[in-house]
Amino acid sequence: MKKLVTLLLAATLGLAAAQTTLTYATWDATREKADRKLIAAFEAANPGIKVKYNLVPWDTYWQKASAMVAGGVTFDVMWMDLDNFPFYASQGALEPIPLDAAEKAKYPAQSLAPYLIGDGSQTYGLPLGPQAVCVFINRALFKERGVPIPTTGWTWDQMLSAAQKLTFSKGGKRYWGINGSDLQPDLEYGMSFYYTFGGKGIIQKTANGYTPNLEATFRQTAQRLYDLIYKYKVSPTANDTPQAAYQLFQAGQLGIYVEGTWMTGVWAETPGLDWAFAPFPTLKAGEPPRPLYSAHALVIPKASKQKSAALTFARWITTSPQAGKILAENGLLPTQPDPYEKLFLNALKGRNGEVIFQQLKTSEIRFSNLRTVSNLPEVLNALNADLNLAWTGNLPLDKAIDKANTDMGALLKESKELKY
Amino acid sequence: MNRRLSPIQGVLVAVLGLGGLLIVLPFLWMVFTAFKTPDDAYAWPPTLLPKVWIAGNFKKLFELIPFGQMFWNSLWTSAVIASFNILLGAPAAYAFARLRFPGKSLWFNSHLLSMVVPWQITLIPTFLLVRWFGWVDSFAALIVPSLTSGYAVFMLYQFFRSLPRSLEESVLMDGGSWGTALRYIALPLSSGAVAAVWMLSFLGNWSSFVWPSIVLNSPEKMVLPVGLLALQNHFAINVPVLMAGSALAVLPTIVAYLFVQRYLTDAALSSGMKG
Amino acid sequence: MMTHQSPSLTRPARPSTSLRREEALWGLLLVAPSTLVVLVFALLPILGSLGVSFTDWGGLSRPEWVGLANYQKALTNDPKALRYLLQTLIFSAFAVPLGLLVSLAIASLIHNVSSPAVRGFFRTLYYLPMVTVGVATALLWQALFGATGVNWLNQPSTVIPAVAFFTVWQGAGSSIILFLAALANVPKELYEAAQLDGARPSQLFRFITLPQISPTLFLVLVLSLIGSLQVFEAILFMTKGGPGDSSTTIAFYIYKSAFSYFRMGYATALSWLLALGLIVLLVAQWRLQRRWVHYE
Repeated sequence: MKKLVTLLLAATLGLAAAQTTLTYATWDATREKADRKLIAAFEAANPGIKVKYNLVPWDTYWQKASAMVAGGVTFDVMWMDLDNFPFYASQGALEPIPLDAAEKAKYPAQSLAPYLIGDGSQTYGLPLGPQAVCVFINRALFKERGVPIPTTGWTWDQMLSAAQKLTFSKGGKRYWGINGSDLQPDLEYGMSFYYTFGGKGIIQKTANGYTPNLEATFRQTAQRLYDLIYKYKVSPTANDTPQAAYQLFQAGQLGIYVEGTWMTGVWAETPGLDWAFAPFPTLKAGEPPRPLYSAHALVIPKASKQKSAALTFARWITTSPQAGKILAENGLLPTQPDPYEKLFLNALKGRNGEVIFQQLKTSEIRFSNLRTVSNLPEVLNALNADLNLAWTGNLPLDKAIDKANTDMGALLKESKELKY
Repeated sequence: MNRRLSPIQGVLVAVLGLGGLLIVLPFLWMVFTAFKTPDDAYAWPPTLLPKVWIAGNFKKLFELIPFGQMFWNSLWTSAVIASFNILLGAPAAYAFARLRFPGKSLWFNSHLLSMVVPWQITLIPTFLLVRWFGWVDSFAALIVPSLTSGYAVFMLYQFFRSLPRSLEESVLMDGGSWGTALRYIALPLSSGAVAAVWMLSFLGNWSSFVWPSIVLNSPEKMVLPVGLLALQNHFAINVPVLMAGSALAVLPTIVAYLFVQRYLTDAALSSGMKG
Repeated sequence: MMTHQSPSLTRPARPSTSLRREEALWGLLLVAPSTLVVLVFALLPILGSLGVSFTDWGGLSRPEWVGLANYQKALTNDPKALRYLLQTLIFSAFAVPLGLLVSLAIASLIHNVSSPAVRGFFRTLYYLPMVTVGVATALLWQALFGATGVNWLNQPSTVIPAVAFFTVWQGAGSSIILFLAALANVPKELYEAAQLDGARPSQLFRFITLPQISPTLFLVLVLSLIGSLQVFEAILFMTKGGPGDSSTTIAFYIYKSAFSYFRMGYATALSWLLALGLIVLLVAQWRLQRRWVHYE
């Protein structure tokens, strides 16, 4: 009799477990194949948990997320970025994630830090792999123009001279050296040069709050980047072509393209493209480059009905060796990339992927110390709009930076500390 | 009968044809881009025709999103919503245009108010409502809030107001009800307008993406514009694949248009019926 | 908001009380389904949002009552809001007249083509832009604007007219459909009689066509006013509000405030101010229409 009860109990439990279905939401369509493989592997390793994949377009992702949270019906595991995280966390929309010291050690401290709240004891997000700003080159163009392929220690001046040689016309087509038009120093691509040049952060904490910090390093970096377009003319402008830089790169009309590791999936669309990673250029003798990376995270909304299964899934994706292996085999960086370097390099064979692992050693996450500035998105938007006027050739750079200084200052005066 | 050759007709056709170029060129660009490889599509200066014609973008489209399912979802929900907009909107518009009844201005202005408040801020309240009804991730969430449309009511209202009253009056005098007047006089007389409003409502829903993306979760329920939007990630769009999807998405709207077109033509209204 | 000028049908005999009651019943019956849906799914959320506009609310957790603070900020303490409103008005000043003119001209031309086959062809042709998904048309026009050598979308002085041109291109089809339906309803006898009196084509248009289609003209005017003052998608897909913020419209600012800056309360107050402006505009149009719109 007792046996029967146990059996029945086990059966019900098993049944209950078999019914757990998680919903998982992301905006990144380029990872869909890898995501589906991850889910299949997870389900095989965790019988009883099913995961439903939801791809939500970036253009409506945050509207959907905020409606769902307000309505108390949310996905169980969802992608979160660092622009939105402080708001969600401070509004109590996220479930704290219990992590002991041993588990914490499985995450790169730098990636985890922005998702720790207060004194650092509370975790509200598990970081995914680094999405690193990086330099792509078109090797065919380099060879054709007799430009040496960049190696470690590549300097800004070498990059500029390469870009100059790579800017030319042939057969009715123009070719450009570098995508200077994307390198506004307020965006992470341009800002990577600012940090490499010794920048300490464009917003400063003072005794009475926050102030903009667009000092000499910022101005000089901005000038260098701006000169790529308007002085050296090695970058296409919107008047030259409406094509986005990634499109020109895919068309083989752009030699150097500064963007991020997430583009490798896009390059796969053009098999004929002879692309490779190149080291991020140095701007100061003897100092390594400090390009930025971002680490999105998996979060569990408070309204999730499957928190423990959600936690199992989020942990598995971010720390399990199986997940790391699947990601690396698909040319993506796992949360802790180093153990999977060989697999990653193998997946992107001959693309010089080693430089990514090198640069990650000296990379940073921007603004990770400013996540409590309540109106940070608006402050950054003001900076972006003002610099954009310069970048599109509608305002001299000095004036644009002065204007940004004023606009940011006014907004920062209104900002409050977010409380968690 | 050589009217077709008259010089005025020639000028008309020429002007319309020239203006039509402005329509056709972008459209052809879309269709041809759908057959290009990415590097061909992105080259600058661009060429209209593909260097090499490839069908791979369509194949890729079907791999990336459940195109057929989404296409079907969009098609039937748009058709159902557009039909309900007429079913509910035409009687209401007719009553607003012709009848006297209590609260008329209030009810009418409620319809108008729904047009002037930006959707961005009613999004979350409407979502909360749909959630309260338990409709999240169901087609009901897509269809029920859109059963009627202030726009449809306003458009039909304007049309009904410009109809001659004499025929309806004779129906009423012969002892017919208002329902009879609507059903047998006003509606047949404005079939062109009804067809136009149906078409516009269909198109509006066919291309809407914000609301569906927010209330629907399951891929098998998703509608086409959301699927096409998901083709682009945050940083890069595969333009040829997007164009392949967009080109295919045009087809049913053209079929729908050709279908209602016969009501849009002047044949539906014999001038003899005008008062 | 609007008052009704249209009187009920007058019956030959003085309507009896029972007839009046019957009319009232029919009226209520006919409007009930549509009104019910509007009340629940439009008015309820709208009233909810009115409440939100008096709060400090990010959109997620509990709203905090702040009284009129949001309105006060929008009206006195947010120079950006004023500038974006101005940019929206400039956009409307381009988009509305251009849209009306172009669509009326094209509809009249199509209407006057004598061969039914050719007419059908053009009708379908001019309808094409409306049926193409927004993202795709925006990409196409970005390319076309860029192909001219001076990128219109890249200069603060030209970006708004360029986007207005795009929306006219995209939206003219719907106005054309409405105008064609109205033109088809103009009784041919009117033209025939006038032609017998020796009227010229321009006179026919001025004195017969225009008055006859004036209700539709009014309709299209109102719809395009509402559409242009709330312009959002074209901005999202074409310019993201740039260069700088020179093409940021009030609706785009509302969207950003609500979903990027997490200031739902403030965005809602802005929306209500916009809606109030629209209502004033509509009431004015409604009053003005007595002078130029002819109903049967």
